[in-house]
Amino acid sequence: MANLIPVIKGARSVLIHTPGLVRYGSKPWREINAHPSRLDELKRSLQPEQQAESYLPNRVFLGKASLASLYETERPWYGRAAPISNDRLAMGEFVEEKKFIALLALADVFKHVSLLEGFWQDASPLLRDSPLCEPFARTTPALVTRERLKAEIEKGEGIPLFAGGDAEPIGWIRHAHHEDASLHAHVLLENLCAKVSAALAMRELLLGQRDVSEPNIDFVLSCSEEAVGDRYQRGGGNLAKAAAEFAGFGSASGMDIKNFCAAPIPALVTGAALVQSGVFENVVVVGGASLPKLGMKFLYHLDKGIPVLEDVLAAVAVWIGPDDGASPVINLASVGRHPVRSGAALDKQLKAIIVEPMNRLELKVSSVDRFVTELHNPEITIPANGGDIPERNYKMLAAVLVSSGKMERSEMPDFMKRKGVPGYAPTQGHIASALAYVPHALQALTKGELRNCFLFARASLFLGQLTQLSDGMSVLLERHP
Amino acid sequence: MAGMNPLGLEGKKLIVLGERDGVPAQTIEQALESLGAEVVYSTTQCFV
Amino acid sequence: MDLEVQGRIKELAESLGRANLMVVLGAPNVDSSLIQFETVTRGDPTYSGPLAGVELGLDTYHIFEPAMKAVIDAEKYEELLGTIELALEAETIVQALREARGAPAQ
Repeated sequence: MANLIPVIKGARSVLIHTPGLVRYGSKPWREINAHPSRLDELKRSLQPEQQAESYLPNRVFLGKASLASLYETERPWYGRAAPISNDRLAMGEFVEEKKFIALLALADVFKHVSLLEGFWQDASPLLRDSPLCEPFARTTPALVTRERLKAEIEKGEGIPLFAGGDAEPIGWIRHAHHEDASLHAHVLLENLCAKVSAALAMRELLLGQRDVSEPNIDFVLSCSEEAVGDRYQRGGGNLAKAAAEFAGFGSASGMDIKNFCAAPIPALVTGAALVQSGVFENVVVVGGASLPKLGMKFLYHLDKGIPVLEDVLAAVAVWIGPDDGASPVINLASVGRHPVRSGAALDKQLKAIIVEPMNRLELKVSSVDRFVTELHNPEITIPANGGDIPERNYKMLAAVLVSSGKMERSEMPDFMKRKGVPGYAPTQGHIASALAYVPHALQALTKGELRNCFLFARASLFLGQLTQLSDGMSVLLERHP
Repeated sequence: MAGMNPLGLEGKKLIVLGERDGVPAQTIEQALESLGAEVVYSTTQCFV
Repeated sequence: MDLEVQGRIKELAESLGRANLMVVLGAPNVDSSLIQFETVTRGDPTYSGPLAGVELGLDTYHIFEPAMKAVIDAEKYEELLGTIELALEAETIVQALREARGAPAQ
């Protein structure tokens, strides 16, 4: 019988600069509706493409700068000139807005999106010249003249699309159903952003590998945040299959794994379990981007005179397959779950999802090289009074390890530097939740020094107003023995 | 504690503002249950 | 503070009366604790929500503060909050709120 131990054979990211979509993030959208003058303030504080591409946390996200550089470089990180490399050996690709908007229209099989003819003429050569985007660019989206676009916008049955801070719209997305809030243009736009970014991450995964092609992938698990559906089934789902179709993964089926920001870990665990059980040979876990989270903290950023740093959509794809004798192993015996009786408090959660599996596997703190959790970029959250999220997680984990007798109190202060990962991910919820680190983990566990890393993620279930509980899950990745 | 008398919670109506990375509402409620106060509003905020 | 939350607190203060209400905070750091304290006592410092310019003056404590700690059974406190306190530099939050109330710094 073949060895079905699940391994990570590939992991890649995309970062998409979308300044023109920031206005449709949940917070900017609500704020601009209430105070229209906010839009001009927002537009004045958007980062130009080059600035976003060279922004240190974004380069770290794509593997174009080292994790150590985050400790070595003093903040502020924004506004620092840095080299932009087109290194194909990096862990992912930076995608500019024009291409992404064109892809939104191409991904919209129901033709709710229409683009200005001139915009498409500019964008389509960019798509054809990009190895990543070219496979998507084999059709033409719905196009409109300037006059027609103006007439549509005046009718008001949808929302206009903009590139960057431009005053003139370059496209339009109409409501799919007038009485269905789940099919409002704004919701469709969110779902299309998730679909396109997920498909881009999946294509990026193929570009990064020599030994996989679309027909090898059997199943796609989406851990994206958006709820795809209609009035009769608001979170109906299967964004995974929609993304697989757009990415050209013709042999694959798929499904969605939902668990707020923690979803990537259950998705990795489920994917690994499907491989280990022999149900499917090759599974892709993909986290598509979250439009609602663009500009989430923009008011604080405007207030403090810093650029609107939440201007990028992010997506990550991970390929899980059976043991190939070299790739890092997903240790399914290590999975930590967060039982109902543990409640919502972070310390109890970490006890359940970290200390319990460590005890079960008889792991000491010294035998775990990295604990990896919510890697939100602190430069985004600190100005919003949210503090440094990864740092706070590591402080809590250190306190839990001390109170569980696994570590000395004197080891607490430098715990994060020794055992953690600094924050660099955009505040895209689930993407920041350990998933952003998987491409880094793959390199470090194959070419680097890392022996293992414990991934864990947390879900704020109480946000949905059905329970006061939270959830969490963890899994250990290990260098191939 | 100097300058601070123990609070009488009896009959008080409590608004509990928990935070995901601090103390969530559920934990605050557990800590204060059986002290004779009534929780009238309880929420946990999440900043990411 | 979230605008929806501000709205609910304002409503409760109007319907139940300020005197009987008490706010208990669980914020993880000084900044967040101070903003919430300000919002429910002197009004929304960001001037964006329903409590902008509204001085509710509600009795407000962080769960880490001595006044709260004094009424909670010590064993229970340790079980529920001991580790969280250890991780979050509780003393800085307690001190910041003491100063925010106008008490002399210690």
